[in-house]
Amino acid sequence: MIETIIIVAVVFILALLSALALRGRRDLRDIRQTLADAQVTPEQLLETFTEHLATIHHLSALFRDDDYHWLRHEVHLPGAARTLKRRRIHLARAYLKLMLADFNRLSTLHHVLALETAAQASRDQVAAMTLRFKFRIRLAGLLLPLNYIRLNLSPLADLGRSFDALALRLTRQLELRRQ
Amino acid sequence: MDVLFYGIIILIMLLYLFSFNISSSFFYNIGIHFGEWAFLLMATISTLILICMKICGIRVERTYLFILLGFLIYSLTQCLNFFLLSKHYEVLSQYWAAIYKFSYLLPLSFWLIAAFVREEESISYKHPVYVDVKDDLVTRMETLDQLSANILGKLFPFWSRPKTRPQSVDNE
Repeated sequence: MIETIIIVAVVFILALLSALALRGRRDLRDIRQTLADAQVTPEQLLETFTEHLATIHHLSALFRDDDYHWLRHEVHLPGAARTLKRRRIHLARAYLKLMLADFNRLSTLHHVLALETAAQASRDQVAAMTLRFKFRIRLAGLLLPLNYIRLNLSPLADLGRSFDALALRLTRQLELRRQ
Repeated sequence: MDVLFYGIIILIMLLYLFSFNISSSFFYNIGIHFGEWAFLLMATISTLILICMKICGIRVERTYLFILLGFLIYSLTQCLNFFLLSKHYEVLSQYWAAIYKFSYLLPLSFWLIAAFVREEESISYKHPVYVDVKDDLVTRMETLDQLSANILGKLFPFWSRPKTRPQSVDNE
């Protein structure tokens, strides 16, 4: 009896996981619809993504830890420092989600464009990068609660500066290509 | 693989034609004993394939997707048949008998759809020149991947940070 209950529970869990895995991706449908209408080219779509990338990574300037330390240790306002810490951690979580969404858009566009060609090596490379990036962002999200004990969000500020440089370089490349 | 697949089908047909009593064979008994768990294994592997496809953003052709779904549904329903129905109902009532038959028809219909389903319309004829865009995309994703690798280790708040000693200023 117990064995039957366990097996039936496993079967239903597998069915649920499969249903979740089969849920349609909205960004995939949106990108396919946008490109199928032929009103927007892939280059224009990529330029939109680049502008969005730059917007997201302006948020990274908020992750400097020195203002928290100033509030806590210099002016001795522990209550204000705790509130700042809590809000920064919420912001960091939202920032990681935005980064993940941005990467998903890029990989979705690549899959839509790569579907017609037999570029299997390229698809394997993108699949491996997607897996690594998602794993790292999820792990970063799991590490965030540790910041309640000791605040350390300044690496996200460094990351944002690197992304700003990347967005600037990509924007220049797209402008040169247009000329 | 085609030779193996059609070879098995021909072998089964020949055994049937020569009225081979399969229930006394060694492999049949092994199959009956382990068959239940084989279906559970098949269901687990199919689910893992779907989860990996979802996580990595891999998309396969619709034909292969429907074949995979057929195997998934077939294995899940056979698990329920073996572990639930056969152990608790010696004779199936009308209701359970209908569900039992439906559990065979549903995966078969998915395999039938796989044979006739058409792929999504290609967009390449509307956007023929996008090689540069694909290269840009891959380069950008590579850069994001490398940057994420650099910062992840630094996000752990309890790594001991290197202590910077004040440097002496040389008086020139």
